[in-house]
Amino acid sequence: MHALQLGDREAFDALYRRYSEHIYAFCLKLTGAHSLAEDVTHDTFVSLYRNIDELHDANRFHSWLFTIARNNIYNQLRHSRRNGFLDVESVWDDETPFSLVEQADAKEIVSNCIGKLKIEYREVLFLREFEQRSYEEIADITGTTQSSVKSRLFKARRALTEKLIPYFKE
Amino acid sequence: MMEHWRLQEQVSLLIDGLINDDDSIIVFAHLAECRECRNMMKVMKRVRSHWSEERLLRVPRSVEQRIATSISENRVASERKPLHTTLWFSNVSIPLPAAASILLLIIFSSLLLSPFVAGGQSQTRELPPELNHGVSRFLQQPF
Repeated sequence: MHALQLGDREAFDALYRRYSEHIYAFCLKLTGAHSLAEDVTHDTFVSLYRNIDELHDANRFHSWLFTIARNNIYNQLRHSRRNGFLDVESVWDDETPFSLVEQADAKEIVSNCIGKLKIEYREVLFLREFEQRSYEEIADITGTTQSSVKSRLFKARRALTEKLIPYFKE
Repeated sequence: MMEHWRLQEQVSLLIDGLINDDDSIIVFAHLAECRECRNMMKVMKRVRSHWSEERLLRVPRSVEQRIATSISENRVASERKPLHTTLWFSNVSIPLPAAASILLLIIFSSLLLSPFVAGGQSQTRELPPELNHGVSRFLQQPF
């Protein structure tokens, strides 16, 4: 990180190799569209390069990078929605329950149901379950408190259970 | 007796391993009799295994190339910026009282110094006698 602050291009490449797939997965999970995820990944790493001087605590790098990605995702979604390029919900709603039933693959069902959750729920679930981040880190990334993260995670899990339980009944 | 939603919230904390021993006894007792909460545990177990098996997707090469282009453009743009432009547009700011004090200082010092400057430079010149005479005749003429 310090090398990058001194303008070392190789340091940037190393950070890109380490984090790009995580950021891309985060963008893809939240936007549900490959083209948007690519744009946001691009914007995030360009922002990283331009604003690395603003980061004073190296321990916060991971949260800081995810915060940039999250802000870019929300901006991109707002912009796309305003210009009529994208209805965010429609990205995820293209699968009808009937087509879901037809899909034999349980992974597909899980993936689709997660995709149908609100974006605030998807982000906390992804950060907790996939990235395995602590409540503190999630609060830092999403700009909220730990108790808010706790409550949001609970609501996300309950919403996901409602969607998935018809497929995984006892 | 805890309300159901509060117990369900505890189940969510149990999933994350963030529950103390006393509360976990209550939550496990609740799980034994509540199908809804058992379902939540079951679903989250599925989701966790789903995500643990999921592999990270490789970022398309085109994104990497676009980032490299944007960064090099950014670097060239910052190198091209001339010095006087940077200074002109750099946001140098001073507090208003300081600015007012400096302005007053300039005004007072110019007023104080003006007699010395004027005294050293001004010279009264007398008109030549013939011209002086003509002027006084002109002034004496009635309008």
